[in-house]
Amino acid sequence: MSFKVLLKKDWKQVSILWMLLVVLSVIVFTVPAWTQLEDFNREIENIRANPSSFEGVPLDASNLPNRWFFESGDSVGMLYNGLMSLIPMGMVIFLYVVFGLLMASVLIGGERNSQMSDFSMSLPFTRTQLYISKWLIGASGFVVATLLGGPLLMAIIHLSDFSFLIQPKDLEVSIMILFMMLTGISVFSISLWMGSFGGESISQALWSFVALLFPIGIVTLIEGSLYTFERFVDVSYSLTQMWMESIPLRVISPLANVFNIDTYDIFRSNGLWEDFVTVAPLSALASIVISFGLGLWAFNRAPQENNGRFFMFSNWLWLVHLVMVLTFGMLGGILLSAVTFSPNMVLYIIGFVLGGFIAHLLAKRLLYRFNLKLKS
Amino acid sequence: MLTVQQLSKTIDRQQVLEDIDFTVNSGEIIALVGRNGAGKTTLLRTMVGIIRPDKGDVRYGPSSIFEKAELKRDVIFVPDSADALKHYTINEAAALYESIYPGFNRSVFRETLTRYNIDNKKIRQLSKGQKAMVTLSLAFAVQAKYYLLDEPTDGLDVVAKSDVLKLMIAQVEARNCSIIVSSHQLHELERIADRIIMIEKGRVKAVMSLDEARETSVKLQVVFNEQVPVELLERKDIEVINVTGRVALFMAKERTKELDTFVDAHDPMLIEEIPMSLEDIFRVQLGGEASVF
Repeated sequence: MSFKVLLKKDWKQVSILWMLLVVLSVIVFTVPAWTQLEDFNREIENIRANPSSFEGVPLDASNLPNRWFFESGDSVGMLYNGLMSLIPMGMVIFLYVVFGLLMASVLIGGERNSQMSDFSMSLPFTRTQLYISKWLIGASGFVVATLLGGPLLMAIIHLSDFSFLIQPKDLEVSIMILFMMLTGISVFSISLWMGSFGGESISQALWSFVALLFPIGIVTLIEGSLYTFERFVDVSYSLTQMWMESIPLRVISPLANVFNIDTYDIFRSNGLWEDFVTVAPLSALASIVISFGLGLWAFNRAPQENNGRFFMFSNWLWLVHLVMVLTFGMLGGILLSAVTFSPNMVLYIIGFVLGGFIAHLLAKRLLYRFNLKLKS
Repeated sequence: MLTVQQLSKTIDRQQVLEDIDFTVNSGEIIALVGRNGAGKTTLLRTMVGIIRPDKGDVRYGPSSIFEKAELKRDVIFVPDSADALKHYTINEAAALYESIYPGFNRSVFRETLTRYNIDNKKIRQLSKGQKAMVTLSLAFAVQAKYYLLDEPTDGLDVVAKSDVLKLMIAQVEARNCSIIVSSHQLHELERIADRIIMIEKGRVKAVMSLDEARETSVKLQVVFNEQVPVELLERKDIEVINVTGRVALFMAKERTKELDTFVDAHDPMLIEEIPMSLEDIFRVQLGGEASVF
């Protein structure tokens, strides 16, 4: 009996999504770069044909090499950020986020929805082995997708008329691609962790969504709330700014990690590149390690009899309930106080009570009554 | 030997299992009976390590199932539906079992499928009876020592039920394995079970052989000289099945001298002891209505 059996079983569950991820990644890595290279050609032809329309472009532009247009500073705006605009980081990360959530929800939540979860737990494997197998299958999807898509992207740039953009930056682009892969794996790991206590697939997907937004969302809510009480404006601004750019936030929130990257100048500024390379990939890696560890811990302790519930750890329902009431209360307060031109404390309190009450009703239904009554 | 020790489990603040204690020997078929919601499925799921108990242990030999996952190689749980493998074809499912369980005997599995004319297709495309046969055949081809079967004949037609029961008996005879089977089909369990474990509200009410159970309770048909005495009908320790004229058919939870004296005191014309079925024992011991079976 080998561990491969578990991989085979999990592969059967997630194979379609896995293959779709790989195929779509190849498309998302290469097609935008391809069309961007075409755009470069068109734009350069346009500049060469009408040099007088562009500030700083000599009239004999037709003799200028392609490289010149990318090194001429801001005057030829769209070409200034040439290399970065060839790397479809946003699209790839969006794809990875979607597939991270989907694959994790199928691997754990989908299993809980069917009797497969009981079947798995009755096999001669430990829960740790079950969890590791799921993680390996999912993570391998991002590795393969990136290992196929990334080099293809680099090859397309290398083989184009604009290869000079990448030639001195091969290592940097490789690191950037590696970062995208780590971000995908970290989103997947977080979503898999959410599956260790979300009792079925929809609950897991909702928890994953919350986990991705919560670290940024809670700061925004606190900042918005403090803003209502005007005397705290300065404090809240400096605190939230500090938190938004902090390494702990970048570790717990893959999205914050991505949003903190200054992509506009990253390949031109050594300082920005060093900031990126020393913080972003390592934060993503730390996020993977932490979420994998917490997921494994929770998966081992999840009460299997609570399959089908929104939140499986019944001892902690009170805390989830409290956090829901507080966050929705703050949201309600901010929304209502924003009705007037200047922040209004009374309206904030009314909105807080209303939002909190609605959240309380929602929490009662979701946390205590929602139960798909799954046997597995 | 399988030993269930002081097993307790609370779910949603309700005590689903409470101090469950029993042992199962090699070669035994144990019938797990109890009303709906008595905790039978939870007990089976705990016995295979799917659910962790709040208290107590389940030991196969000297080891706890909650500490040694490898023990599950010899413990097969068959749930009441084949949903887990519905996306697998029969051959894929067999390959999966073969790779998990070293003792899996493909020829035994094939033989059963051939006997019941089941072709290789996705499990979800099979009829309910075929699904049951496939899941049981897969389980029995593993050649494990312990089988925990949850409602294996639920919803099957009479022929399929009979086949399932034959399959179970054949396994015990051939390999001396132990089967713990939960079912509401009491007349079937009666034919195959060595012992009965009665579960009531999460507690073991009784562990006994069918003969012992029959000795404990009694079913009497009494013909009285006059009308059936009202005092008999009002007794709390009996369950009256039928009263027709001077004839009363009733069961008593326990065979007591007091009951015998009571009946004798009312000058009966005829007292006949009727053999008790498992269903009768279930009704009189667990207070079940026929409709809940």
